[in-house]
Amino acid sequence: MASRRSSRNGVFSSTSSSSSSNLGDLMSKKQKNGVTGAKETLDDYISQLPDALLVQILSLLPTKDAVKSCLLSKRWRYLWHSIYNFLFEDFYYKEPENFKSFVENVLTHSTCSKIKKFKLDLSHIYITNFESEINRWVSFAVERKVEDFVWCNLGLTYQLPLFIYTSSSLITLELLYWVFDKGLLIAWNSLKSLKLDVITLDDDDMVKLLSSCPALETLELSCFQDFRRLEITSPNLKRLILDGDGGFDSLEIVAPHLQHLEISGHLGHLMCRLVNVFSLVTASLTFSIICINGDGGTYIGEEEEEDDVEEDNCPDYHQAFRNLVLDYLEKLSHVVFMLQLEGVPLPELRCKCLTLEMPITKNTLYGVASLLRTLPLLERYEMRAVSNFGILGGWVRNGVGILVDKDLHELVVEVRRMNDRLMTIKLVVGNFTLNIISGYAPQAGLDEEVKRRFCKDLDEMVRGIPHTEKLFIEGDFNGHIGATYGGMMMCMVALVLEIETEEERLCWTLLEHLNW
Amino acid sequence: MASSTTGEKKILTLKGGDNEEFILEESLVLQSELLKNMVKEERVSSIPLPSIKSKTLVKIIEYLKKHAELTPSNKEEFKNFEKEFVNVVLEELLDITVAVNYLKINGLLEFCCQAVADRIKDKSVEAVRKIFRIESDFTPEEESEFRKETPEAFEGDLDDTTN
Repeated sequence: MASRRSSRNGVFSSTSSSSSSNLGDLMSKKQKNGVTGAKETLDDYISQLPDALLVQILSLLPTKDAVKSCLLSKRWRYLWHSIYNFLFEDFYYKEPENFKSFVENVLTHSTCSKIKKFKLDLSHIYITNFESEINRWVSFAVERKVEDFVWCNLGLTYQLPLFIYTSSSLITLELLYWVFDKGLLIAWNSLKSLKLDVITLDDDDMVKLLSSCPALETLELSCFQDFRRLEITSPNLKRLILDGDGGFDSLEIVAPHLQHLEISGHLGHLMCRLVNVFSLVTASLTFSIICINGDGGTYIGEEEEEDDVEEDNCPDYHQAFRNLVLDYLEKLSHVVFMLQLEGVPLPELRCKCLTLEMPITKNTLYGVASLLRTLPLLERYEMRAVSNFGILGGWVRNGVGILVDKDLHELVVEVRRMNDRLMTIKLVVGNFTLNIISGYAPQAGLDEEVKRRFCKDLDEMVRGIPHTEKLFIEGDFNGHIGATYGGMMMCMVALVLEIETEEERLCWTLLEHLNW
Repeated sequence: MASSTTGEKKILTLKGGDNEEFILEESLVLQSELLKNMVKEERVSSIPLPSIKSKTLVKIIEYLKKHAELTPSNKEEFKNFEKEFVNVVLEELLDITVAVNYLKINGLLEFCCQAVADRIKDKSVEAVRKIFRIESDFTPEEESEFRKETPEAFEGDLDDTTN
């Protein structure tokens, strides 16, 4: 990269002369904004940028980097005094005292009158008698009408000063490791987005918290516990994001105005019931399924050798999952619906848009097959394969291929081979037009350019397919190298067949071909 | 000058620095506060932008089009597009940033500034100077004096590379 830059430098001197008139124009217009660095030569990449823009850039850096810029040149000497975001992260500091004096130093010199974002990450150091400093820093932010506040306090060592709970300037708030105290008087009247990470709240706390934020539009909770019922009555709150990692046992969601819902987490912890979510427009449900049977947890599809064991022991677990999903989908019907599921067979659903991200194995194959047969309204289907398996391309180095059963052969109307990594075929099955794209993504070791090229080609292929036609994307997108097992593309061909014909027989025929 | 119309859609011409003309729907340029005001108040149908290179203008128009097509379902695609959009050599990125600042396309401006900031994040002073091609006009004495003012800012390991 360094060599590429230096070779560019040669080019720069010739282009700078042609661009200088443009720069001149812009500079004269921008002079009012206070371009002070008259001494800098035109070769300087940044001389064309007005001070206000440099301050904006500095404000987007960790504050430590912003302050460092004072040494660049005279023009930069005091620029950082005007930054309007303050991002203080203690992990840069071995000595707590140094962190403390750094923050003090910065705030003393600051000329900012309106703070956009203030972040205080106190996860790595601990200082005793630190409360007065923290109070002073937070008060600095609150007095300057801070809009976005981020607080991270891993050791739960410090308390936020009380006055922040009544700050009406706050628009987004992110609290990691925060303790909710029942006695708190909270009035975040302008708050639109609240993110709580690692938090313990009971049902009453939740009600109280939500009623303290009347303008809230987005609520994001991860690693939360203790509450069983989440009732959202505010018509403003339209986005809910729940991350179950860390665990909730059972949770009821009543949110008639909610439009966007994301739930992710491990099934073992996730027992969520959607009681009323009739306004939903999009939902993204991402589950990691872990087979809890056998010896410890193994992801479905990961252990080929123990396949039989999984098959014998998993059904109960899959049944539980099926019930759970069924419950979701009943509530989510009539909704344009994005579903991301990893793992197992699914019950009937009426969605228009489906994204499945899952390993392709015998188990999941049947699931997808039955799923596809029950989706009369589906307009767009995208398959993202997550797999340890290689693809047919493994047989022929850097090649992709799509095997088509001879019964299907006549239905193929178009075959396009873009390059040795991507190809597509089009089939007409009954009323459907099916596009199957097969890809072999570049392995980890390959050049970035090859990867970018692959993504671009794939993107073009996908775009080239009309929305009315169904689409399958197939292949190994994991940058995977190593042992190869035929199978993935074959599975997809099998799926195509299954839409119209008897699933099991064909499936097995195809699988046998591959000794899979 | 009356704005030309085809059916319902108003058409506008933008003229880049090298007199290259770009014809696009008026609704697209409304994302730019500057152009929006020009279009609304002065009812022009052609706007010269001599300070913006055509190459830069092409990029910006590409963004405006993509942004106008943004819906909840192609958010991911748009994010990837944004990522690629700023994945250009620094000189070009700065040209775009300056132009976007001039045109007042606020969302894009923040994104461009972040992309510039990311290129100097965690870098040593020397590395930032090289990246931005800044020549120091401080004496060594001044420099060590300023370092002492906020010594904590220079603490820890810093990245000296310029990639």
